Amino acid sequence: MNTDLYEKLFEEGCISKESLERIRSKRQNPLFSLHWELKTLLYLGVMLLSTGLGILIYKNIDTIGHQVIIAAIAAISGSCFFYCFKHKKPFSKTRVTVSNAWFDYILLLACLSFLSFLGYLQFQYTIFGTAYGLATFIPMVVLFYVAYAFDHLGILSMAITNLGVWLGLSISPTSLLYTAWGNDNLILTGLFLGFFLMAIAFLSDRCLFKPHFWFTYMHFATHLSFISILAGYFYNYDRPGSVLWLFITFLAGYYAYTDAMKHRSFYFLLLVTLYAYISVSALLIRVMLLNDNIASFYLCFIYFICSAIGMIRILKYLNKKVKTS
Amino acid sequence: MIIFNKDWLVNENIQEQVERALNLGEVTRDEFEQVKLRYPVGFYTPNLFIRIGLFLLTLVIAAFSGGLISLIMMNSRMLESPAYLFFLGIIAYVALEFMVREKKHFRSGVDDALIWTSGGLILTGMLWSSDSILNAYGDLAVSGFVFLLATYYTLRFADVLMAVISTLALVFLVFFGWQRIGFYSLQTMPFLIIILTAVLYLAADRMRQHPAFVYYKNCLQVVSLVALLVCYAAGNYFVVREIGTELVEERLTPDSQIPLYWFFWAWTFIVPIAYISWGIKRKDQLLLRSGMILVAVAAFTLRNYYHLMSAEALLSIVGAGLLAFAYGVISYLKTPKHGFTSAELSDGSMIDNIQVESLIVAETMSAPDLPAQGRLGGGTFGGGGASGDF
Repeated sequence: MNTDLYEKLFEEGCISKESLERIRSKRQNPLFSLHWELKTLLYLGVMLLSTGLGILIYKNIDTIGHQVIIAAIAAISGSCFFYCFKHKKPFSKTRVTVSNAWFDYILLLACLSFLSFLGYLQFQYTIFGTAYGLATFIPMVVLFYVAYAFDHLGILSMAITNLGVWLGLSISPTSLLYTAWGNDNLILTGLFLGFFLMAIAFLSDRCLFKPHFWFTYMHFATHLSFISILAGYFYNYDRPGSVLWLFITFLAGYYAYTDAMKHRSFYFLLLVTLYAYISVSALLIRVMLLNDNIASFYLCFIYFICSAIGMIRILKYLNKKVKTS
Repeated sequence: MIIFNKDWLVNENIQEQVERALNLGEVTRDEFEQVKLRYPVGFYTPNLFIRIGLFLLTLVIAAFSGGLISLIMMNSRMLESPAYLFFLGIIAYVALEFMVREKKHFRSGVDDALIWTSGGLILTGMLWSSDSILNAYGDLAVSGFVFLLATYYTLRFADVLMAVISTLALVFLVFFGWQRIGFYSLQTMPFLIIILTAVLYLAADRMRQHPAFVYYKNCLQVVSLVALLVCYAAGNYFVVREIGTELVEERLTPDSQIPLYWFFWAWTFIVPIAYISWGIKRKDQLLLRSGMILVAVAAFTLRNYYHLMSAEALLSIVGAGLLAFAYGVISYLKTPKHGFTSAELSDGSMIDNIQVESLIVAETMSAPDLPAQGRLGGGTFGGGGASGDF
């Protein structure tokens, strides 16, 4: 790598002598980081191993060999947990950084094989009896505990997904959209869980108890609450009170907006703006289509053109506001 | 040719390099601000998420404006001719030029959306109006049109995705052309494509280092990536065998072999390893990462023809092997050796503090499936799947 650019910057007085020296000596022996390559290998390794073992159990469930497989899974989970607890850093209310990626993925493998193991026990011996709630509740508690004890965001996401499963919802990032929202109970559960997670995100941040978990909680909370609200509106479309659903959007939207501004997060600003836009449009289109004639049809087209231009202005304004704040 | 202010593009490149140095802790924030003042960039380039938002909203505007114009003209016969699509495409293109030239948009989402809208409309118009050429030359004409259009957009707007399309269209153009006029085209095709992409890679790689092509740095990078991948695919046993049988319309029995099979098998396995070793030697991320992906492709190719063991056993063994390998490398590089380290050098890759890694884990790593009777109603444990039947 050449240092011509920095020589020039130095001559122009943009960078100091020390910086130039630092860059020169660094560029003489450049370091090449394999960090992401190794992380990808670890990720693939954990994913393949846990999937392979998971399938192996159920393919061999009636043969003698499966005892061996179960023992192997228990051994993997046990030894991984043992390793992690041995090298565990002391608990802290703030972020705990681990020295290498290896540790994080071994912890993940421990949790995944533990879940396989529990699932097998439930299947074969129904250890949780027929209390199916318990069969999802216990893994969830374990996952939350591990996420907090070891400060692991991936496991925290898994724990939140599991919380959803326990309540009867599938909330992993993509499955949210494909969930069949065709029943009031499900929608209300989703809304409740969304607000609940929002509250947790607020408290994590406010009480400074693992404040960096804020993002993960808020991510699930925002999508879940807005999608539940929209589902609630469209599911009850023909009932008189349906418009009330959209007013909840504005309450949730206002809160999410102030929160995003506080954290200067472009991601949440985008989400809030788009979800709010969809809600407002749903309402206005409904009003405009009250008269069933060609003029109202034209009006809808013009509405979308103008409103989208307006939204672009708003997004640009927000971009500037966050940048300068 | 390029529409953007060239000085700003150069300055943008300088700012980018210094920002990387800032993330590595080589320069201070004050120095970075100094560089920013001295090398100003006047483009409107918002944050990535705002860009996504602007992209979506611009698509909404384009779709509804097109719809509105069509509504107004519904009664004229205009709508039935390809010229109408051209007309819409050109409106979008004029809007694009205006936004970029007057409003200084640069990778803002608005320009991305308009590039796609205008390109798509003009291409459809072209194909529709040239029915007779299409009937005679089919695939050749389509790839030719796409190549011309995408190359124009690449040169004018330095758009990365257009560069990808243009490279792929060139490969297809040569493929279909050679198929028509070539000498023993079926047998020579893999070698022709290999030579073409190898030349493309070397050329793009050279140009990337050259100051004259600084505006197209990102485009050249993706061109080299696509060239590397296509170069491998052209000699991959599976690709050669399947496309070959497709072209001669003759079904091979599983036992029969294609000519020069030993060469293609060797290519399938040697090239990924060559990419990786070359990448390590040159400390080139592009080569290294493509090599890593291609090792997986080679493994799938082998597994497609030879079933050594059950899929799940293979998954477990490969998974364990990968973990062991990664562990080995991490402990070997505990103190950096030969200029390599396993540590992360900068934290600049985090976009808006979005924890992509944790979301990928949540998406793909939910616990393995439980058998259906294990719980109420079925569906899957943890992650994806229906849960309405709880």
